[in-house]
Amino acid sequence: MKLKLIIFLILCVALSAVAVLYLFPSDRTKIKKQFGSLSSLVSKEKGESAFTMAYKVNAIANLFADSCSFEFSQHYMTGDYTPEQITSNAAKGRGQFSKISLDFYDVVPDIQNDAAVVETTVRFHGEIKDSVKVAEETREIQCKLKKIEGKWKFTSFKVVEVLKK
Amino acid sequence: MEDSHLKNFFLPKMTPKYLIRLAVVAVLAYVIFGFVCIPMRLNGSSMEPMYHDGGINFCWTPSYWFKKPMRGDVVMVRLAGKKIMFLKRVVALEEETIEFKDGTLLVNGKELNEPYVRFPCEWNLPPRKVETGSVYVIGDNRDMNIDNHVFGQTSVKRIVGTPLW
Repeated sequence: MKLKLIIFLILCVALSAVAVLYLFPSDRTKIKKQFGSLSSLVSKEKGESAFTMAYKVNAIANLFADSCSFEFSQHYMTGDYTPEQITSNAAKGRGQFSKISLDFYDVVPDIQNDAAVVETTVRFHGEIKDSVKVAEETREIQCKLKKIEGKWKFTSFKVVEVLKK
Repeated sequence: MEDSHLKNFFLPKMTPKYLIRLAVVAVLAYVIFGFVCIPMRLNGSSMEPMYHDGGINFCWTPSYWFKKPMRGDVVMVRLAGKKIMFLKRVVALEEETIEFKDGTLLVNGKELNEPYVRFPCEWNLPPRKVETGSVYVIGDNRDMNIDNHVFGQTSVKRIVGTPLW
């Protein structure tokens, strides 16, 4: 009887802890969720409908601050972009592929007040439309986020050079 | 008699002794497979023919607990974390000069004997010096455009371990 009571109490405490974590996520969890959202909005399945595409492309804009800087390479998408420009580029980019997956690994945020720096590994896999070719990239990136009106938004993306030719 | 042994094996009684044993096994598995012998799935063909795309291996971290990487070692280079790593071979050490001339790898101006390179290579790369605290890593498969092969100088601190086999 006593053992059953102890098990019941442990279960109650565990469930309460899970409920608190779920209902009141920490900034760390919110930032990780932001990466999850970016990943799912950029990703594309074969035969994606126009409605899904329009929804995803428009929703991408909500993840970014008014100005977001990109530092990828000298030739590709380096500079400051507004959410509208990012949406437009995302639509163009997604149009070139029949299938896309974008995954983030080892997302560890370093939070200081209303700003956060995240060093993470991103893996891109894209199947080029009407072709058997596949585009694959794995890079370490440094992202910066800012808390604007209670929501974490991306303010910069920079590729970290792990192997320097 | 045999039935009770089988029953005890598959459905053990939740005694304190059993729970302690279970906890010890869980902690040991977490430490060993999380920090000492990290399971890896190989993705890509940059280390062909020695390591094949889709193969399974483990990153053995004690390799560099007490020594530095040597020339010829196959190493795992971490990105933001240990979930994604590059598998490459060390070809030059700090302060050495490296260059490619018509597919031949020259270290300090002398041709490096590379029996592990089996595919033809036509790379050309002007000489460059490896910085202090870094090593130069390249994949064994150089039968591809130099721009498509991820290789270069990396900090020794990024080297996590070696593949177990």
